[in-house]
Amino acid sequence: MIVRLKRAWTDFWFQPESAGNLALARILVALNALWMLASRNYAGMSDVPDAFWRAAPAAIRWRYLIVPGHGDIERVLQGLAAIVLIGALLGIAPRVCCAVAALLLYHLAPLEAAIWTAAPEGRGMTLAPTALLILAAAPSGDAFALWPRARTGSKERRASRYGWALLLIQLLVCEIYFFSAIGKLERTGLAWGSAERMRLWLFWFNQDTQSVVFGTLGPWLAQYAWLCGLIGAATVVMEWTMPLALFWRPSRVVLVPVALAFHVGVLLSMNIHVPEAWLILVFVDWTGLSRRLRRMPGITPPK
Amino acid sequence: MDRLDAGRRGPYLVIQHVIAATAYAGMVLAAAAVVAAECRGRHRALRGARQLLIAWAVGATLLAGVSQRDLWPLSSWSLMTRAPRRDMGVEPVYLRLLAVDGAGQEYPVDYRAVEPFAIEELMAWMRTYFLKLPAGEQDSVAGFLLRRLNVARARVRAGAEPGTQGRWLGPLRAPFHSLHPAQWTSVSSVPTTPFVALRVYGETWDLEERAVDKTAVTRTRLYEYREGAAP
Repeated sequence: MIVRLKRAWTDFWFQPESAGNLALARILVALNALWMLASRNYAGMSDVPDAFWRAAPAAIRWRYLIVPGHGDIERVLQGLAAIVLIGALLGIAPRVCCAVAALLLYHLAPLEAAIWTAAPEGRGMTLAPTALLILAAAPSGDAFALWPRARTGSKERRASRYGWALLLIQLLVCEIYFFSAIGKLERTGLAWGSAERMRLWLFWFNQDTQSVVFGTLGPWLAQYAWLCGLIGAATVVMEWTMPLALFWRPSRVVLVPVALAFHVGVLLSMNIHVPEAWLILVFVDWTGLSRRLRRMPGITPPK
Repeated sequence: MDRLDAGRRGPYLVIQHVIAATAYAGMVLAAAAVVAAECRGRHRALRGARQLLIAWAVGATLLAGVSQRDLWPLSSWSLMTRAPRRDMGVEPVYLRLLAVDGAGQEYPVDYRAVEPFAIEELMAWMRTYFLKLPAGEQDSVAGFLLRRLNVARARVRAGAEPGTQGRWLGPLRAPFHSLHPAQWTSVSSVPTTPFVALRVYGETWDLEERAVDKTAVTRTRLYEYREGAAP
């Protein structure tokens, strides 16, 4: 039994994957992190008056090595993080860049909310410190890399040494939905997705004028109980079934577009943006897609 | 979004932070072990190190998710997990900042005017801590915010945007977790003279009632800082 479980575990994690898909995961993770880094001033938070920091639990500071009042050092670190993320994106010493970026982001990203919470989830940087660490440990520079030159030639590599890392990153993305489903069940029970609760959520996110950019779709949906019920039920089903994408590849054809549509819907009806969610694109088989596109009539095959 | 740790102190919180830091440190060490084994060219050790990294990542993330405890960046993803309440602004209290000019006119605060704060983090901090601070510290914080608002006001008067964060990205700048409408969009949306006061209001309303009547909000002034009046 144990031997069989061990074999199943090994077969699952070390299934063959293309070097290209792992490298594209590196590009997606780096791009997403760079987007957030360029849009925020994490370093500036170090310069806000001490009164803001004094109130927050001190444990947050040592956990993330935050020492308020050192804005200049933080600015250097934020600049360095941008440089190594560009390195990871372009494939210049990508694994070293991923490792340095992971550690820097673990320190920098919490600055955004550390004056009051230790958990800055949903702000765009939650997956990056972990995913970049995995990419640093895996051969993520074997394709789409400028230096050292990518090892893959016209014949693309598929090997078990790429599969485990991509699967781990996909697992992290899956957990956004699955853990959220567990939290809903634990705190609210099965009735979380009821029409009445969905209706209240839609009101909740559309009535405070400080946080409403898209104020039409949400109130419109809230008028129809059956639509609210449908949204709640679809959300519950999507969140609980998302792990299928890890174990059964054909399910990705449905789950990935559904998740993307879900996030666009949440953005337009509830004014909520979860930047990490765009990393659902790591489930797309980009190299397979590219092969299929090349085979399509009218598209010139590569020389 | 739920914030299990907000305002929570004591040994429980310290233990949770230790576990969280250990969980990520373990991942760093496991990743380092993979790289070390790869550099030495030992295939058996490499396979073992990869297995260790996988097992640690799966175990630590499952611990965060199943226990619904924060081990960031191994997150519990507690997003919208509670049931919404009809009585908004009661628990937690719902705050609004308004800037006041010399003529006494109130202006909504643009989310970009409080940089480097993300406005939702600032408001969460105010909800959790500001009202409990001693009066002197409240004034010090409010004075800082008022100065930031006046810097942003001057930028808008000069024809620029109120904030500079991610400016070069233009419309491609990453939105915050909650979307916020731009309030100061033209020169006329801010006063010609500096703001002289900052007010903090608490707002309460009933979700069902406000769906019918947008003005059905009770607003109570909880705090005011006036420039020059602080001790």
